[in-house]
Amino acid sequence: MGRIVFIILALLIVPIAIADLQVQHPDRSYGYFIGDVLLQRVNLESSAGAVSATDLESGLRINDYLYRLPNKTVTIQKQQWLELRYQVINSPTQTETIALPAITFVTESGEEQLLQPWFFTVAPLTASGDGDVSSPLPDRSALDVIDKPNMPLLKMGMISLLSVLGLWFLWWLIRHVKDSHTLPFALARRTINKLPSAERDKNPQAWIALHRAFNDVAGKTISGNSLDQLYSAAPWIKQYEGKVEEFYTASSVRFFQQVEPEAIAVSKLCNTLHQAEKRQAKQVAKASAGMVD
Amino acid sequence: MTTENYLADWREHALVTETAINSVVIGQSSLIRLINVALFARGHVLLEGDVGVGKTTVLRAFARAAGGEFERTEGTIDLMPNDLVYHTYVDSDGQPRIDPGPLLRHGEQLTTFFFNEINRARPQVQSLLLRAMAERSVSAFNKEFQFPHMTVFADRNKVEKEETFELASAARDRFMFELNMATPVDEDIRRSLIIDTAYHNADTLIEQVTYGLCPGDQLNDVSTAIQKTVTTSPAIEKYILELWRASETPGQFGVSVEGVEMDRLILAGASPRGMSALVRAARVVAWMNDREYVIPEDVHAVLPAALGHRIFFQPIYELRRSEISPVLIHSIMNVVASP
Repeated sequence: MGRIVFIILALLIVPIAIADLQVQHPDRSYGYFIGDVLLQRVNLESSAGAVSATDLESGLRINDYLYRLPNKTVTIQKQQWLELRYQVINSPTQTETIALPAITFVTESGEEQLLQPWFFTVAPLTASGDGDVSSPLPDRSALDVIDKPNMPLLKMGMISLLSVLGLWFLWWLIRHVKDSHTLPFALARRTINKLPSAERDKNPQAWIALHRAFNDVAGKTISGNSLDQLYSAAPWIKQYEGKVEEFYTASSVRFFQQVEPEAIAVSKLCNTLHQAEKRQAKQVAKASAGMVD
Repeated sequence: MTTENYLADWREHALVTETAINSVVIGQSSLIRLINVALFARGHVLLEGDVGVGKTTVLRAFARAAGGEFERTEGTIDLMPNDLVYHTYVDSDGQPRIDPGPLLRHGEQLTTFFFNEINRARPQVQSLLLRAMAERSVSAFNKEFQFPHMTVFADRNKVEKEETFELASAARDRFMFELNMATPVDEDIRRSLIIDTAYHNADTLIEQVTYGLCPGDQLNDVSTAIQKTVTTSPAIEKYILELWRASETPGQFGVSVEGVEMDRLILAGASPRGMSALVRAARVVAWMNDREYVIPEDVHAVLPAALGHRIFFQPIYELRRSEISPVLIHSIMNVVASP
């Protein structure tokens, strides 16, 4: 309380003491922190003539809180002003009132004019009072949902999400299983994959499985001379015409002429046709859905 | 001459014969191919068709190409079995005479026995043919008469049913092929048949076929060579066995015919003799296509002709045979997989 009274009295006294010294103080006298720079200007052309500072050493630490930066002279409206800059170099543990130092100026006639101390407050960076860093606090209080999550709603949401994911997975699984049990080349692929990998392309069961797949796709028994009926029943196989005919030729040689045919990658052909078959099934499903719409 | 060359020469004979007969009987190339196959498979052929489509002409043309001795009998309701074996008459000296009938007249030289309108003959007569066709021999006058080179061609018209006798199943089974000769549908062929005078005289037409072009008395040897040379792989054998089982129990193979209860359709499937005939014919088809192994297409080529008349239906369906049989055979071919 005493300090505040002192400040008020000092402020009342300053204009009287430096009546002839024209001074521009910083904009405010509060709210300063470590690192802030305060600017004070003194008009060097007073009514009593030019003035100059007597002891104005720059780079000087004034007290615990202030450090004087190099000053300079600037011209404002054709008048010479001395710019005094002070930087706050320390942080108090609680708000402190400090003052820019008093400076004695001398006129040409030798008259001394005193720049009175200018008081202002410096605040600590933390609000704890002991200078320690406090836990960061938000600008406004957090929403209740975070402090106290709505567990029933959260559970319901999680259950819904898991249900959707579960149903999607179930649908994918059913479709996958259904495809692998119904699509002709998927069936052939399963049969072929059960065979020892080293002899898949040579094992007669693999060839027969692929033949059955072609028969199933065409809806009838297909032989080398009736491939047109296969393409007619399943036009999407037409793009693999060369490979299919090669397979049938080799199959005839193998099964009927009883001569070892040229190597045919039966499992690869089956996989290729299975992929094409799946694409075709998707297109058919989309087309069906379009018709329903 | 190696067997390979021997068969290659005969293949040429077979194809030339076929070409010659195709030029005489136009618009029936598939039928002519099948009769040719039967000839080299040493099977008998029953030809069915409408009146006047050329059944007799095509069979006579084959008989001429086969050369050798030829006999022809017209089936009539009063024809008796003895009429085929002998006939009696009083000669100019007033003495009773017994002469050999058409079956015995040429003995082993008989190459073609043509039975016209077979369904007009009584079952007794048809029965006589059973042994003649199956064993190529007949017993008469306490003696065995052999006809090793005989091929029986028979025809019947399917229009008239009065005063006719349906062939017994055993008799039908003796025929390797039962073929249906349809009226050509191609406009140009139809125009030629009625406008072109060349086709108006059957005798003149048949004479265009070189006599003995495909000597019938050598066909047994050729056929034996074909059957020995053309192989059937295990896969094709399995396929044929599956076909056989499908002819017995088509329902179990997923064969279906619209409007037919498959479990109640079959009275008897194809006989072993029928399947044997099928394999022999398939081998001949392979040989004609210059192959020494049978493929499913060879079997397919002869399956309807070889099995169509050998699968016997329950009485309720037998009346619809002409409608059901082709569909059934086609379904069996579609369902049974090869390999």
